[in-house]
Amino acid sequence: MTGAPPSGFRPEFTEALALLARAFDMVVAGGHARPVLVGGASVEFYTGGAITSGDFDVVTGAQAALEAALVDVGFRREDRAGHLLRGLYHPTLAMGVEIVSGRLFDGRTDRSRLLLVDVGGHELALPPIEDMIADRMGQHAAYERGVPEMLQQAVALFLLAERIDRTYLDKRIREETADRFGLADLLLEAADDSSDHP
Amino acid sequence: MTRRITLDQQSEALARRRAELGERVPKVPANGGGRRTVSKLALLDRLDALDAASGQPPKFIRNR
Repeated sequence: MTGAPPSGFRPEFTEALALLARAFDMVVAGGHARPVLVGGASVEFYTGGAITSGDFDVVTGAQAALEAALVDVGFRREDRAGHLLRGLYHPTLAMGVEIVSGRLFDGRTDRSRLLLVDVGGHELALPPIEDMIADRMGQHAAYERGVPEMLQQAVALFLLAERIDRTYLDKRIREETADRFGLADLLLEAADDSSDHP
Repeated sequence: MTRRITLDQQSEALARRRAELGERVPKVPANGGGRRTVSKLALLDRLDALDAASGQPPKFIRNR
């Protein structure tokens, strides 16, 4: 970590990001692809803490290497009473890490669009914000009646984004929702005038 | 092209965007993540109950 945490992010969140970035660099140094932070923590990053999460979900093809690296930077394998025996947690930051195997969004993410976040000289990889919006739309679409919280998150991500590739976003929403929704549906929810994002 | 950003730059970008949005800054639940964790465990309990009802052992191991 360098200096005070930026405003908007919780100190424990930035501290956990710094530890994860160190662990991700260790995985890369071991010859593996850089793990990618997905899920709620990625949403927390993109919304500046407007939506918070207690979990760090990470996609990697090098689970053993990442688990070893996380233990090296202070995480523990889950051993607490009442918790599922999977993943790792940090004893003082109240943050858990779950490792997701397989390909990032089933291989549908354009990896050239990954966002690299410099945290104290180490790097985290995040999916492009368009993929996170599409993921939330996909979770919303997974239920006939929808999941309002996921839709709210998609709208918040969309509105708070400084830059959006609308063509890519439309494609990804259609993929994640099996063509049930597209960009037009999101714009409607966001009451967007289509003139905001560059 | 892969983009690189620092936490400070992200924070500044969000501040600019919030200023542009003004009253349109989205209102979102304060802690959606916490609820998701609870609901995930509740879902696993439900799946265990369904397994038990059909005479199968639970698939999910918990540290009691």
